[in-house]
Amino acid sequence: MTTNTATVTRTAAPFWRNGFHPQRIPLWLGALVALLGATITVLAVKADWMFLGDAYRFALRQTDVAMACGGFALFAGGITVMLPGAWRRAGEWLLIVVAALAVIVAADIPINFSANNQTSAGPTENPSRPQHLRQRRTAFLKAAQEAASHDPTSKFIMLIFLGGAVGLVRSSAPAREQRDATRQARSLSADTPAITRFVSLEVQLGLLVLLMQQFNLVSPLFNHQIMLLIFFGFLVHYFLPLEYRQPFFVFLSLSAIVCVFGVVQASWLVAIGLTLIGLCHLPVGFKLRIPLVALAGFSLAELRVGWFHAPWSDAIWPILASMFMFRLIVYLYSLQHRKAPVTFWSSLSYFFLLPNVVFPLFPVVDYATFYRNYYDADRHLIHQRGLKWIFWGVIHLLLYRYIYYYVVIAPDAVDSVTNLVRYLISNFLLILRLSGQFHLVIGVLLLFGFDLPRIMNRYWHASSFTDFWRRANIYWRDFMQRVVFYPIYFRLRHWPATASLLLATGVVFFITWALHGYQWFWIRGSYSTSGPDILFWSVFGVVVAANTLYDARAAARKTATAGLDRSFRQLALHTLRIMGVFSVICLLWSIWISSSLAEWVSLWNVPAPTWNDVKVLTPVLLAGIALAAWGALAARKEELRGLGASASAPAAAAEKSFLATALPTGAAIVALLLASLPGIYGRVAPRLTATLDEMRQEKLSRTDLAMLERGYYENLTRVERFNSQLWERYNKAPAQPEEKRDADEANPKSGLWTEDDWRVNYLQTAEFIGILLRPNLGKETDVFHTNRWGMRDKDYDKKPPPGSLRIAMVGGSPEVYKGVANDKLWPTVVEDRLNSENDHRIYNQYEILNFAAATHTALHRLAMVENKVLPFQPNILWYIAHPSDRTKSINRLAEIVMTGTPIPYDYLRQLVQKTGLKRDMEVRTMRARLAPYGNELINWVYRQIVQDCREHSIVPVFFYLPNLKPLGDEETADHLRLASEAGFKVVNLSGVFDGYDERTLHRNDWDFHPNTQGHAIIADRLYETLKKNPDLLEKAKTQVTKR
Amino acid sequence: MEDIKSTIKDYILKEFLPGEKPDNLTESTPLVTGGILDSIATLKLVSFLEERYGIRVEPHEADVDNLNTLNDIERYVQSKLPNA
Repeated sequence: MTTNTATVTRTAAPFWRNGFHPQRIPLWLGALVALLGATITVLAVKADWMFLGDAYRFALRQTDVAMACGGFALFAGGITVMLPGAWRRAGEWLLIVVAALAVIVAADIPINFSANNQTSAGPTENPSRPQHLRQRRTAFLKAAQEAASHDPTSKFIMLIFLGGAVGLVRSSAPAREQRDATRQARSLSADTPAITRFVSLEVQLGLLVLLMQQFNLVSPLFNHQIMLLIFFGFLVHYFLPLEYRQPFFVFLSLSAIVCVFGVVQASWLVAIGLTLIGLCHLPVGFKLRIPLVALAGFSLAELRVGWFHAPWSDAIWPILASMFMFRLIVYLYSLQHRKAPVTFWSSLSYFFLLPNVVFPLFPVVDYATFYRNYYDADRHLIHQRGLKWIFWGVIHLLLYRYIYYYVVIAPDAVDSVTNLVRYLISNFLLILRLSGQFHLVIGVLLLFGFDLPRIMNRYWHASSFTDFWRRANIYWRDFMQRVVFYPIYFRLRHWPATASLLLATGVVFFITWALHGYQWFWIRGSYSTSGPDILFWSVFGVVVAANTLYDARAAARKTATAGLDRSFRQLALHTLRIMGVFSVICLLWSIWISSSLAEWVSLWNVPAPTWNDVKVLTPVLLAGIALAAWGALAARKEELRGLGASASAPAAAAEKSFLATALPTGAAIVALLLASLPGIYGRVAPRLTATLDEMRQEKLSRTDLAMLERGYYENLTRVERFNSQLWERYNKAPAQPEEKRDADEANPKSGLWTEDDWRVNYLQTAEFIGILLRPNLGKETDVFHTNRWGMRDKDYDKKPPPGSLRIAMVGGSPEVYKGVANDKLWPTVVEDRLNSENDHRIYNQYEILNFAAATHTALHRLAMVENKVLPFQPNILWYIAHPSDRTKSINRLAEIVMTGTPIPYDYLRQLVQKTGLKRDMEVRTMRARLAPYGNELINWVYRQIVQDCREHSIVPVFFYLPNLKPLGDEETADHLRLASEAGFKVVNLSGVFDGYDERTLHRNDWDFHPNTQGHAIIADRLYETLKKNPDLLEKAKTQVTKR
Repeated sequence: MEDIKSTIKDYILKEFLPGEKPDNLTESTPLVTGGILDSIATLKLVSFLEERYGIRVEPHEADVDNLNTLNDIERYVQSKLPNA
């Protein structure tokens, strides 16, 4: 609300629309420009109409599209200046639409018209077209598009044409009635372009885009498409007259939605949104509108849960929810209390906020602030502040990435005081991701004139719990204050102040907890809460309420010098308070992210501090003191600055402010960008090259990969709380076309595939053998089916056919991965190849019986051998081992104890007894106790299996098959040694995937099972190994029967 | 008119800005957006206004629109007074 008063006083002269004095544009000039534009458009369209193998069609080459767009902008501009009155207005609107299209073209935004939500760069293909014509057309199209791809010149010319058209229309604008002097002043302030400042802003924005692309921050979609849309959008938006900027922003926002979801799904999203907004404006009493909106909400909730089938893709839910779940409440509140005027464009801008399309977690922007602060100050200062926040967002995200990659540890790794402290602090600091994203989105909104206040304010420097609540998410606190706290407190104003304060604060935290669940319901489609969740919000609420009471009383005790003359003692106390609050918040956070209270309690079961802990933690403590002291000094500085900083700023100060803000931000952006270039950091800091290379990649951390590999996240339904990055990957399905492709490939008919229900194909027994594939699933023609014995395999008789070699294979999920069709699983491929290339000199037939099952560990495999395999009288046993088998077997034994499953082996019973495992013990503790016996356990399993084989004249062969990701490799050497010592023939298939792009061999970013191609690679390698080592296919000596 | 502003200014200086020079608190100093009035301070100010001027402040009125500057507060109080 710092209206530029200096500008107001300068507007005594007659004011013309948009700050421009009207100039007479001769009609002939308009006609000439229109003619030129029309000619360019026609030529570009003609050039794009070409023979594409089967017929003449539009190739939609970038050059042609850009020139057509630029030409049409000139045409629209020329026509507009010649038109009178309302027609001229129509021309201006046409130009705005063309400007939005030009931005889409400049940013290379692909438009997908198909019903699914996957983006594509080309026109859709008609499946009914003959195959050879389709191929021919595709080849022509590809050649045409490649010839003109990445053509910055045509884009530049297009933007020049567009700029010329806008300039022409602006300079010929007639004066229109203005509403009032303030509005005029605001318009003038917001509308006057300054080329040098614009160039400064645009260059900084461009560098920020490069920076985000360099570091792959946020997501490829955001970095390479949405940020380019913002870059070119800002370029055009800056020069548009004020009255057209909001509509243009809405067009950009809708373009971003189309870019992400495709035309069909975006239309659904916008239609639902418009319906909800429309309900808020129904010409009925306000009290009736609220239940109507609530009813619409309930209807959508039923669709979200899946009680009814929604005709739109699930992919739009998180973004639709993010746009409306809180903003509708704020909007209705604003409507009810008339907090701000509502216009068509302001409503659409408010709900379809441009950056929201890629951020399901979005700040709760207040409508009144959003409206009130639109271009409420010097436009260049607003934009520059936006760039500063975007830069801060980048810094937060980089810090987050470093912590996520290198500092965070899993609960299982907490085995000392040092690691406990590391766990507590690093997991809390993962909030940097959220704060980075929030700074980024608010910064983007400032670029388009929405002068929103700061969203977070150095929350790590909070010196009290109320201070933390005030700093951590300012928009949420304001939302709660307006909608919950004040209404309750004022209603209870006749109560004693303490009681009403306590009750209002308690309700705020209760509702905050409930709304977190509400938020995740809309984003995930299911509601869940837990003991740690409730405990976290309860304790947080209690400490903030207590702090609020303390603050209320302490305010009355303030001395006249407090805050202005701080002694060293006061600074030290402030520092201590900051450290104390930070510690308690870290502690509370660790409760919140725990999967259970028992897990949290078990974290504290660490040995007493050692000298090593002291050595490691002392520097950490000193660093903490330094950071807290910085916070205390910063607070002191703010207080000493006092009210002086709040005084109104004259225009001269504003001039200085722009430079003062632009210079350091610009310099910091340039410095960071240079430092991110491999050519520079490779020379300056060669030791850090590997780290910086890794920092430039967006991926899951080693800790998360390892936890995924060990199945830690398998049973966690609230992964968003434990790990936001992983959660986002789970929700990335729409951006991962291979997922659906794989699913269709695996199971186009039987419908057995769904994202979360792999367990429906399994039978959970209460016996030691555990989980088993259900028999007779699907038909034999289905790509996913099981035989009568519960194998993903052909149907075999129990008795081997005469003259055959029967191999029984036990393994884990990679061998039966549901994403791969039965006949493409590597055991089947190997069996088919052995038979197809069989010369029948030794065996009539080869059979490989696949006894593998998902989640099977070494313990499961032992049980499978003894209970399922032996009755089939195999000649050879293939034991397929994978990395992490040791860890997984320990976890399985802990699970067996926890579930009270009977243990049929003396050794295991003794091990349980020796390690003191009890059924009611926390699973983490059990695992920790079993860990030292990991190798012993594996050794026992291997020896037991070899003994079973020898007793039944079966040749035991051990295949070690690696993961696609280097996970659990630390166990490899032990497994190979123990298997060899136990008496297996050992085949090490490590390196089987070397030379292949690992990313093409698994389904998505969190599922690393080999896909069809991966299985083919394994089958090839294994077949070659068998051919080179014929002894691997030899029966035990007593069994060999030559034909 | 000046009475309202000066009374409120005195109150704010005494309660929320002890030790601050009175000249620094101008008519346009932002109180809410400047961080001088947090939620608790806002409640105290509202209680003061209600008691001092006999007005009733509604929950949605205790916001930046009405309480951000001394000018805003004066305008708001005047609008709530019976003879406004």
